[in-house]
Amino acid sequence: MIAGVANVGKSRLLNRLAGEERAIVTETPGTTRDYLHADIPVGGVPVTLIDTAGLRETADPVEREGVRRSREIVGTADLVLFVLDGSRPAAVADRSAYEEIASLPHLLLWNKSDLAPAEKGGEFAGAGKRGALRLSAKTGEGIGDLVAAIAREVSPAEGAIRAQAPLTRARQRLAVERALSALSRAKVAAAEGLPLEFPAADVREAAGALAELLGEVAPEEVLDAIFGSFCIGK
Amino acid sequence: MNGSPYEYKKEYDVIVVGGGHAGCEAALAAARMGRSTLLLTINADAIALMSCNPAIGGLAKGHLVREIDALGGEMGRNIDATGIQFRQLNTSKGPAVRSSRAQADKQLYRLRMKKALEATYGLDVKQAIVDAVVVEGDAAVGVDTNLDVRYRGKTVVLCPGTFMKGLVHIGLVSYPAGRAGDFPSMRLSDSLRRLGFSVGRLKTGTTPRLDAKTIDFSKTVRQEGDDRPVPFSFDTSAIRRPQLPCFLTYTNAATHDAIRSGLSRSPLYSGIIKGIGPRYCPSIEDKVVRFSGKERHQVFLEPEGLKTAEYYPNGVSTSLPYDIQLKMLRSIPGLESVEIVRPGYAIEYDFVDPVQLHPSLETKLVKNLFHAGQINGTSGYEEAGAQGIVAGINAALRVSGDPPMILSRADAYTGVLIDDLTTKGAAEPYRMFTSRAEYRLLLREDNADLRLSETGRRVGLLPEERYRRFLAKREGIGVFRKRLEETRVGAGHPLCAAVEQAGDALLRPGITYAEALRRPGVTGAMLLACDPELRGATREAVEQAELSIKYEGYIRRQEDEAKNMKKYEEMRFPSPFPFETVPGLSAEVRDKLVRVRPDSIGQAQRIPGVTPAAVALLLVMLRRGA
Repeated sequence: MIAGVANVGKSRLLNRLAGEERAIVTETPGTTRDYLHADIPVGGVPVTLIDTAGLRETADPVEREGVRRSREIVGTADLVLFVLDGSRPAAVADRSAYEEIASLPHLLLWNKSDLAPAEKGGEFAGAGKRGALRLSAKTGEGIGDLVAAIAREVSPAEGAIRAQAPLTRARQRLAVERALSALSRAKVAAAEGLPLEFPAADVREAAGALAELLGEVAPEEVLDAIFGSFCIGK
Repeated sequence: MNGSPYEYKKEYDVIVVGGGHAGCEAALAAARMGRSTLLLTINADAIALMSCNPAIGGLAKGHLVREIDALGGEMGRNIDATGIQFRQLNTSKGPAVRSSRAQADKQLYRLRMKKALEATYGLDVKQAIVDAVVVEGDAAVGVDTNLDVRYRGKTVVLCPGTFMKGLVHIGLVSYPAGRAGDFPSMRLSDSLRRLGFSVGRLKTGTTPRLDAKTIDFSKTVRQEGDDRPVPFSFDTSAIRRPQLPCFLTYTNAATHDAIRSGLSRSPLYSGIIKGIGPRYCPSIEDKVVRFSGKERHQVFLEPEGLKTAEYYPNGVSTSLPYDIQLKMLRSIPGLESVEIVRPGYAIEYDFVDPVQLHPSLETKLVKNLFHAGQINGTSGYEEAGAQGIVAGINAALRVSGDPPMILSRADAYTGVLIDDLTTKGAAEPYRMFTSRAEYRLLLREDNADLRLSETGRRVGLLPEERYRRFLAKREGIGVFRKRLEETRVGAGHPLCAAVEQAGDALLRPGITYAEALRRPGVTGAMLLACDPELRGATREAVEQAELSIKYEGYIRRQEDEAKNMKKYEEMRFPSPFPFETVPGLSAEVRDKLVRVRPDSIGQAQRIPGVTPAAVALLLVMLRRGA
């Protein structure tokens, strides 16, 4: 989740991290009105980056809706990348935006290092601060450090990922649980020295459960739901 | 056909075309089920001939042989009677992937099978070349031969192997043949095309055969069979024939250079062969080109029989020119002065796209017509035999008006084989692997009889006395298992000491044998060693009880999954079902459905490219009663 006030370079950062032109980047503040996201693997963990509309008060109803949504999803993020414009002194708007996320796990990013000589003051020290970095989304300077920092935060061993995954339906949660329990069985079976076809059967079951989640096979619940939720035919 | 053919006076219930491994099982099954049966073969001296490798079984193929046997087929008993080297493969691995394989005496194998056919009441064997399937209305009613003879039959089973427009290639030389040395069947596939079948072309190949007295076996590594050969058939008590060794040698850089020097005259690489060959059984030239980094390839020298000097060099299937075959072979240690008895060759042949079949192996286009074996795009004697027995049984059941025997993916490898063929077609010659079966923990070689004897009995193929022996065996397993569940391990029981000696965590006194057996370190053999009273049980009872207890959780989960799948298999499309006009399907999905015309929702789900959304639409149509 990338947050910060308008025009500090959040979208450019998303593009830099995703390695593609996902978000439209302009010099005009408030270009990103709704949130955009990109899936990138970081240290083997799939990470969904969400770029949000800059946190600011605005008269534009569309942008205002974007800001409202940004605030809503900020709370669900595993890690907030709070972006500041390092080429100018921090403003009141920066501080008030920061207050909204200060208690959440976050990294403080001084962007536009290509334009600015040094890091600014220490007034950004919220409870959830996990570190601060200088970088330039434009030139790529410091991006490697950022990726490493994200990897540290999201790696399962660090436990930064919230226990509650964003699975909205019981069916999805069941599929993931089935996959997980099949995988832990595979681990036990392999450790006990069971012949390989047994852990292989577990892994196959896990893959099947995940395939259902991804819609690659039609599980009966989906089909049942169709008949349960819609009145079809006679 | 000129004018009207001579019509043979007898009408058969089942006519089987082809006397190979599929045709023999089909004809025997139908005749043993009491149907008057005619088997037509191009060459009565080549019945059940092993055109390629003189061996039966192998990984996943051994499973198929056991299944054929459990249903009441002949392949297992035939190899048990004529095998000259038996080996259990993958013994260090788990129970689901263990397989049996045996070298056969090629001539004895064919003669014994021919005798089994001849000894079967109600089964006529005749030599003839079949030119056409005779169809009246929408159903097959017989066949016409090249001698203008018409045989009438209520059902027809086609098992022509590689014979339909067979074309043998050796280097740039090619000639029509069903197999090197046999007539091809030049007209049958045209007759099928006229009936509307989609016919394609595949390729396979075989190795040269070598003269033993020109082989220096001292330069090779001797490979013995198992000390205690395990039979294929549940009906065979022991293998008594003397066993022969095989010999292992390797190709080398000189071999590979020789092969490369001949590629310009290879029918494969010069583009002459259009048919698609099997990736998993490549020719030696294919291996050398595709795996150019590999310094050597294994070559097993396998005897073709007790009374012949011919050896089969397993691993060097080739269609290179004769001079290159000789040069390549003579570069291999032990083969420096080898003489070729018969050169290796490739063969192209017509096959019929198997998506045009029901899972009973009856064609969708022509009623009472069944296809089995290489005509369906498979390769391998075992794959052929498994289809042959299914087609034979179903032709027989059709004659009596009974519903077909359908084996599902959870019942048997045979079910997996037929479902794969009829759902996905055959882009290359199809070979069975254990990885193709999603329920492979259930589909083991050791329990094929437990899975299929009831079915074999129900359709009327498995004889009464064999069925009774099976029932006794099943009961023995149950009794032994119950005993393991009820006997408790007291303090100071020898089993505790055995477990301690093995370095495992100590057994808690008071647990049952069954509970002890669930522990990874405890085996059935340990129980037997510790408790003399258990030793009265048969080997099978111990094996089955051990497997069913040890892997109970896994087995139950796969059984649950299988049950789940079965629901969709039972949601059957009425015939005909208008796949062409299901609204909301993409053109791509519609084309796939129209090509396969699945019998059930389950089959539709397994067609590659048919999306869950499309399946949901089909379900809607089904429930509406479209």
